[in-house]
Amino acid sequence: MTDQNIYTDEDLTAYLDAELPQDRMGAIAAALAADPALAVRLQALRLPMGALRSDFADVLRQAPALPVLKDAGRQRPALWRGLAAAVVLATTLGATAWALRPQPRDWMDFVAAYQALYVPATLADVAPTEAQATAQLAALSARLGLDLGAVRVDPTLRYRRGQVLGYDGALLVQLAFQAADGTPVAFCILQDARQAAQPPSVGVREGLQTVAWARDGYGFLLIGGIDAEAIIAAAQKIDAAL
Amino acid sequence: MAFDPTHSQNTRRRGSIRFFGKKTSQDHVRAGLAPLYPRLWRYALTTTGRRDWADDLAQATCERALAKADQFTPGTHLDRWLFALARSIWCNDLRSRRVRTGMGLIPVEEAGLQSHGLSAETNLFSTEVLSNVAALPEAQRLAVLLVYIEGYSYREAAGIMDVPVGTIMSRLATARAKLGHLQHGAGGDLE
Repeated sequence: MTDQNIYTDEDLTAYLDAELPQDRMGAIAAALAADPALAVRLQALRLPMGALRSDFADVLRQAPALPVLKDAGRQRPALWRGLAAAVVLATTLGATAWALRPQPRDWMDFVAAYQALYVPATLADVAPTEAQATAQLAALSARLGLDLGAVRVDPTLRYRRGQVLGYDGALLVQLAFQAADGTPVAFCILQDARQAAQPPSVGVREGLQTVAWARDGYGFLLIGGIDAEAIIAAAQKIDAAL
Repeated sequence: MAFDPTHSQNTRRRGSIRFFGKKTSQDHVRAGLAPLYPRLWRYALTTTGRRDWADDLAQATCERALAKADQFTPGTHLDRWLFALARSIWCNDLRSRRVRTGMGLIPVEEAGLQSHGLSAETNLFSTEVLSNVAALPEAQRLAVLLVYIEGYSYREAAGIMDVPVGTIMSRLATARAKLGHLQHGAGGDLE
């Protein structure tokens, strides 16, 4: 029995969010296994993240389009005018701090920036026949040394095209799909022997939902839209099929 | 391979849009505003709790971003820069309103903890989960938005809010404790 009071709600929150150093994560995991009362406290802090994310995604859909903006330098609305000096100062300090921070970017950041430019119309007129799709995937499989024959495993994603791209000297293949509502979704494979195996992880890049994982010298990224459940479900099917 | 979607990618960095060729900072900012606008507006709505104020804050942030674009470094994270800018505009506006109405200067952090009455007047927060998040004090609901919805790490969220990392952790812990009852009505996806 551990003294559960040694762990605060902050500790347990950071544990749930995987924001603690590895040794601290391990210590709390061990304490949770040994102390049912601590496990109850942890359980009380859990949130229904799926519902939370899905509801906030709905709010995103209600956002208005970018309004017409006043040109920089023109007179600003009275509400904001008096604040200019303070904002300039705060912005200068903030921008300087941000600018000085190191900003590593990985291949998935570049894929996300590219994918952010896709709109439903990008793929609207791209509809390969079954024979064309099979041939494209066979050619890409040969290049990659990875059988993509079963990649069209999710019936909600229609295959549109495959592209050979490159990142930092490594082969990068992009398979473009469209969801039933037209949302562009891309499955990308980076062939890179230096790539360490990574379990699937869910994230958001450029506002697009992602699932990324890596194994056997390949990095995988499924990216598109804002429907986390759909992307996670599709990634599970694709991971299982490859 | 075991599939664990709860394994978070929060600590990964998300890139801002990168463009090639010789463009000015203002070109970068201008080009980046439209794709980021829905997220900026959602951030503004979560901050202000009112659609009309969210419209004003999001628009003012964009205009200020264009005016101050030379302070943005292309290749860095435009989304975080905009959120921090919105935060700064909102806090300064709040403070000045209080001054005008005779309430005197108050610390920004204290202002940040005031609830601005997110309520059913807007059906934007109509679900049980959203209305409970909306009922949190401003600083806590913004921490929830930045870390759990936007996917920032504690450190990144702290940078946007301009507070220590420990403050983000503490706000999230309080928010989780207050929202814990929601799990009884939810499915199995507790995290």
